[in-house]
Amino acid sequence: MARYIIKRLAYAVLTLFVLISLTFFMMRMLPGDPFLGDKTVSATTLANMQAKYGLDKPVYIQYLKYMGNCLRGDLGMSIVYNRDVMGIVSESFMVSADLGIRALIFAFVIGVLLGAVAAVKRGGFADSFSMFIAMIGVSVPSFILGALLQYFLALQMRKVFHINLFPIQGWGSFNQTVLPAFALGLGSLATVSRLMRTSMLDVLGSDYIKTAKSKGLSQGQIIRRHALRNAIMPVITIMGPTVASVLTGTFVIESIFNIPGLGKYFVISIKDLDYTMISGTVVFYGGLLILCTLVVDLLYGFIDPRVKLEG
Amino acid sequence: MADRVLTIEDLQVSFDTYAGEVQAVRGVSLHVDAGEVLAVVGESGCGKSVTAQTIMKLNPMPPARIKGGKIDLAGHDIVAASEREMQHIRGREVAMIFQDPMTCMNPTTQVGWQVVESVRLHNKISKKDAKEEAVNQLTRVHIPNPRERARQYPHEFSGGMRQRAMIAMALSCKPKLLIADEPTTALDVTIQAQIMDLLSEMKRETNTAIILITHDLGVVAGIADRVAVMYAGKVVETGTTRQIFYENRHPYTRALLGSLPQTDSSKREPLTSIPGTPPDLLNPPKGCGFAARCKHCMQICREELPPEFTTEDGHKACCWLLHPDCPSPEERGDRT
Repeated sequence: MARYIIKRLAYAVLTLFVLISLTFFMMRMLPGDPFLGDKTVSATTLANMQAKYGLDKPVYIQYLKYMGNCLRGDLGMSIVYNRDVMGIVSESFMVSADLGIRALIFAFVIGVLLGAVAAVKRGGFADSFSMFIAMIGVSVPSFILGALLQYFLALQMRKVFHINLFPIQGWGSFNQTVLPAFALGLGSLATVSRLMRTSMLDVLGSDYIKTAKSKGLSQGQIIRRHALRNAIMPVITIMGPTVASVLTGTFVIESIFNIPGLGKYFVISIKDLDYTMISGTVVFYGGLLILCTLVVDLLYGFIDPRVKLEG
Repeated sequence: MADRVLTIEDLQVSFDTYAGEVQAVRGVSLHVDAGEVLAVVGESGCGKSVTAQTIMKLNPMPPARIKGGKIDLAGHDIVAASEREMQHIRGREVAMIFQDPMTCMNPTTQVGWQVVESVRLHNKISKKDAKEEAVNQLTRVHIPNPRERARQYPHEFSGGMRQRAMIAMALSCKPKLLIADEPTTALDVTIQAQIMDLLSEMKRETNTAIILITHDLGVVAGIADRVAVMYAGKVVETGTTRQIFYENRHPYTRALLGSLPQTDSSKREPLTSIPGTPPDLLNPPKGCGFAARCKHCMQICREELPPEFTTEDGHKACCWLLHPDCPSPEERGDRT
């Protein structure tokens, strides 16, 4: 087990190295210059600015320097915000992760429940209902859903019923998290519930469920003791990438609800050619994704005794 | 007469499918006494498994539907029993072991725990006592190091060991009837014999009645007291094992026995098979189900169902050939 983890961590470092290198050279191939925006800048100022951020040196020197800094845990200064990248990322990540965790709990708990119920009551009302929810979750983009939620549950509710339960935007109170968490989580909820339904149907048709029934267990006991644990495996598998992507926030939801999260930096930093910020966010996301996948693999071994983790 | 454990009378089970009603079981009557092994033989799709699963109501209903008949299991009216009543009957009065021990145990729970679950379901005993009882059960089915084995998972067991564990699980609540649905089909031959020996041993120890469902007549000869031969959803012949093997009266039984490979034959002769396929149970034939494949088939066989002819010693068969007015083979001009 320990050997396995060490091996995986070594691979993780290797993956991150490749990721950083690729990102570094690819963003340098983007046309333009971070200091040449709409304003015209004098040649001297430009030279000074480039010198300050070390952009005047050859690219390979910059690369080696950046790598050295990364090893020390220093992601550099953001060109646009003139602040430590690490500081910006960790600060906004706390917000995104806060929202993300709520969205994930909502998505996984409700998704697993809906999927399981749909499978058990196959063909019944519960099945149609949960697959309807799943269909909406898959097909309605989050920005439309976000806007609809704002319009009906925030704006109209206040206007028509004079209930000011959910603020339209902003961040800070619990009530402000409800709508964005719902909008953010519904997509994952749909995926989870469909996956859970398929896998549950598969498990319910298996021989060991028949064995359990022949022992004299009630349907509830069969589902709790024998079906759920086996059926949840595929859901665990998709948890890794889903957790990583939801925790780091999304540009769209955070913009609509005006949430100071990490999501917007992924998009804006590229538009601004904020080199350090681009690689900073990529490294962070990559690291988180690798970590989540590792945790999921460990979890797999924990839930299914047939999975042996060997180094 | 020994205690009658199970009586099935004229059982009819159908499956409602999109294509129509599949009449899987078309009037089956069987009975088993305590301490007796009844073998139910027949080819795939003849309704033997459906009959067995209906005794425990394990078939999902719908699509399955009991159309008619009676099942009396140790005084319980199975056909009328509710799902809640069935939960008390399953495991306690009747238990079942299945064909493929590889897929019949929950892969994510310890074998011992799965036995404990059975024990505790029908007996009010503490967890510790149940664990002890589970180890005893595993010992009884000759699993070596039962205490360590109980803590292992199904994938750490071999096929034969799993089937032993399944038997331990099934017998843990001392059921009056054990249904073994092709218990050795998925095992290799050496293990088959061991499992059959174990079943006989368990039967002698506990006086449990056993219904053994199989298409392997070799298995039947070794263990069964009586045999019921099924074809196209009906029992075509029943009798003692001796009667079925040596005094069989139904052409299907004869054909089935005739297709057994002869190991003592010195000639290199091809294996005998029964030509044709079983009838489509979506539209079952009006007359005898075997008529289309029977080499003694007469006009009446296609038109009317043969009645049951019983000899004095309880040997029953459904075939028009047994009718007193049936012409002799010479008169019929048989191809044999």
